[in-house]
Amino acid sequence: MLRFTLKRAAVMLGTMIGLAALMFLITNIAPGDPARLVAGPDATNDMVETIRREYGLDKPLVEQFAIYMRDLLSGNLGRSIISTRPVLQEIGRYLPATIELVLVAMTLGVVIGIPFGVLSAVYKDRAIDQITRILSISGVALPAFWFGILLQLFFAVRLGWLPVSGRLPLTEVPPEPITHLLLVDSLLRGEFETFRAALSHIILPAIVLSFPCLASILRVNRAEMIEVLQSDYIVAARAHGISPLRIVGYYALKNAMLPTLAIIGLRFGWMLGSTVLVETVFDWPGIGLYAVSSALTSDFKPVVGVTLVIGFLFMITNTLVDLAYAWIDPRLRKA
Amino acid sequence: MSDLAVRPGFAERNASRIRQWRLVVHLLTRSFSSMLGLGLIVLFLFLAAFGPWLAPYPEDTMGAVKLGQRLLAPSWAHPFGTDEMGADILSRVIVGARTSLWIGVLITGIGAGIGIPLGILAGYSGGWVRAVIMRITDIFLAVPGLALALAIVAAIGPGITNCVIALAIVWWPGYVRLVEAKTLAVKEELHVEAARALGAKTFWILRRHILPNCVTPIIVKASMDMGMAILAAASLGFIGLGAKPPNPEWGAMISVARTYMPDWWWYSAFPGLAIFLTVLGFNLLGDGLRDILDPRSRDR
Amino acid sequence: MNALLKVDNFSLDIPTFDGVLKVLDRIDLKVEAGDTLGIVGESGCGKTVLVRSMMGIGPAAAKRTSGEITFEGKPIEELTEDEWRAIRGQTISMIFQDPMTYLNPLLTIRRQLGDVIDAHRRAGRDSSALPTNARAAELLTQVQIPDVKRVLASYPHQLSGGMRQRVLIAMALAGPPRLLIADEPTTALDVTIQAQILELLHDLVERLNLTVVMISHDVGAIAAVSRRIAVMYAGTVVEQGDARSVLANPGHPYTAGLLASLPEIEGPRKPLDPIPGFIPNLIDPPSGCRFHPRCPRATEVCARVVPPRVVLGGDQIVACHHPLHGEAPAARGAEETDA
Repeated sequence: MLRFTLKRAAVMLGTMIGLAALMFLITNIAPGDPARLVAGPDATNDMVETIRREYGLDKPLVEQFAIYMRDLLSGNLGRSIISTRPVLQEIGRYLPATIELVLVAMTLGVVIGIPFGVLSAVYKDRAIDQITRILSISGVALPAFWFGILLQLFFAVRLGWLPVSGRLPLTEVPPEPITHLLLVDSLLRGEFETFRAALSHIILPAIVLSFPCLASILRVNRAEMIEVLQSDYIVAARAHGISPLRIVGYYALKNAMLPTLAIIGLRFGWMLGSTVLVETVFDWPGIGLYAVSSALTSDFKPVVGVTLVIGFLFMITNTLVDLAYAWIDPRLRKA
Repeated sequence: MSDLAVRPGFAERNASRIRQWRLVVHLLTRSFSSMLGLGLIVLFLFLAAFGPWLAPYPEDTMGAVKLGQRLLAPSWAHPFGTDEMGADILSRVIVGARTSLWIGVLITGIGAGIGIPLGILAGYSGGWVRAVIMRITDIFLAVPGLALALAIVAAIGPGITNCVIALAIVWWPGYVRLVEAKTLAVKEELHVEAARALGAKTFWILRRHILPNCVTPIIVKASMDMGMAILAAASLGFIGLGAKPPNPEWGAMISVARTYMPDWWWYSAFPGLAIFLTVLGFNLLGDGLRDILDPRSRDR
Repeated sequence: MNALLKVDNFSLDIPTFDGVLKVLDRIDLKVEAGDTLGIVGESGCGKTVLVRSMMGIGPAAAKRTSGEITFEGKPIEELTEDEWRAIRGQTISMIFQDPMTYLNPLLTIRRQLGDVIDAHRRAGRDSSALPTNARAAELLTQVQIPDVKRVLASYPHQLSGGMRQRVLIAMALAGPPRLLIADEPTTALDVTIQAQILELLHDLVERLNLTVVMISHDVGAIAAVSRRIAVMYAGTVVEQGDARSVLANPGHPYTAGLLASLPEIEGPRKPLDPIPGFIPNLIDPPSGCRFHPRCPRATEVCARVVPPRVVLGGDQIVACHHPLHGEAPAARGAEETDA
């Protein structure tokens, strides 16, 4: 397994370098003056020239690329024009909010998706199956931002049960950070009021973010379970008198988990991308909102930084999924 | 028994293929969800084709200024209400279908047009050609689509055209992966080996053996992609990086509508509903097609 | 008449997109305790559907249209799923065709075999006092697997085909069962391994006094293990009786044709002698005798009337209007008239 892990890590490193190169390409191949991109739309010609020299944009492309890679490796993602702070630092500030949101959404998706997918397969075509099928089809089609707005309208405005936006009400002070995840930190520090507030704020955005993921997991798990339940070794297990609970919950589910895992990995990526939408709707102070506001003000470096970070997170998830695959399926371990 | 000297007619030669298609149509019509999807798509295409003639207030579609009628609630005169400029939302939603249609077609078309040939090339050639193509594809796929599109649009500037370009760039790697995998699998099959042994030229093999086997998953993917591409474009529009007003693009409409929440809720609700139903239609049909065309999942 | 398993006038239909498959037509079979019955037939003759129905794992869409199957006197139609679970594996057990697909690829042999043993334990059948692991080892030794520890720790894909089949046999014997059904146990194996497995089966039958129903399209495999034989064609049993008698002196033209088409290793070389024609379409099977379109002895009555069961001495029964030898009157125990 160790050799397998190392191989995967090497692949990931290679892809990361390729991604960095791609972002470099996008910045430079895009029409328009890169110096002006960095300087912003309001810069004067003098400012643009200063920027050009300062950022080495007058040097040949190859040299620029070398500088760019060197900067990246030392963690330098440039500076935001608007705030003039280093991008890496700002990402560090906003990242925990996104991570917390994504973790909660992912948990929702998995904890609801897998059991209901199994139930749907076992009780195929009965009531529970019909409901999950409707959910799983509409879940992927539902525009996240529209869903978010509707939920806000209904639960926050009309019913007043939940807050409209933000991560914590202005009156609450966040707990001293340990993990930087509000839910965890407030629990660890025993501040239950804060925990309640944080929870009520995270519910709506987490539901919106998790919906497509939940839908996909439901769908794939159900389909895989149905197919696995028809396979020969399940027939054999039944013929040998093994209890249906064990057959469904262990023999079948273990085999069905493989494609489900793959979908979880894929959907995680989609989720990371959708944070730009959900964080916008709910004013959630994460890297998605950061990227969007930067893009809208033509502040390019933060956008690149966020894209690289999202790419990195996605790659780690995929590598973990690959490892989990090999752990579950012994046939893959030779790779 | 038929006389071997007489060339069999069309029906006889294609008997098994005809039966297969009969089976597909039969199963498709039996599936309620697929028919629902088909219905939604037909409605969408109809609106896209005849929108300008169907809209009750065609002059509103590119933005009118009728400030006397701003933000009216839904009524018989304006079933979807009016927006902040007084334009009829129903008309704009109807005409928006056309915008969404060509966005979807372009993105899916360009994505497939680039991705499919590259995929076949990668799968069939093997060696370093395949390695290079797949490495590049992997790099593009390392970033979730929406994030990458955001970055591209941030670099090349907002607007509908740039939106389409950015999303096409995000979409092509998916086709490469799909087609490469299928080509690899088909390449190893006995009928291809037999053809090669008989001396068939590469192009002929690609056209007659590989491509037809790839068609089915491509059809399924393309139909689902139409919906997802429209959704992605609307998402970019919502952020504010896609179509600019007064263009009647559904996502951009919601972006503006958001500032008028919650009192004038209909402004956000109806364009969003349009997006949802359109994407749902394509997804339902694509799902139904996949259930049928992929014989593994057929329930017997 | 102490029949362990009885199939009485059993017919089965399966609805499909193209029409209704009349897959089994009035099957009559009897298996007594200690018997070994081999069912021979080409692919598609219905033998797999038949034995699966015996265990209640037939195709879900299948509909019984006549007759019944009884096990130890009780009709199996009436068994609930719970009652079936108590029977399966312990009382009636099955060995399958392709050991690769019938073993869960993600679980070790120890886990899979252990689960079977535990399932029997929980239902109170297994009388062995050994802990699960030891019992598993004991079963594997019984099927002559040499390196028991290694096999227990392995995954299915790490074992050879013959080894996997032995594991499946061990799982089937965990009960131990009163009736063992073997569904083409050697078809997926290499020829040399086939011989080993058949020898193993023969050995187990003798030692453990098992009752076995075995199906195959390979006449040789059946002959190696079975004392009685039934020949199936297109969903009907055309001939049954003592294996040696039937194979030496077939009464049905199909059986004769089947035996004649087998290549011979000894003797002068001659061209193969196949039965002309193709297996009929079961949606619209031939009227009367299902074999009549391909039968060299067919006459007009064969196309009109379903052939009667004719007893040809001993317990050899043929479903034919013109059996190849010795037509005895319907009364049992009548002498053969000719050879």
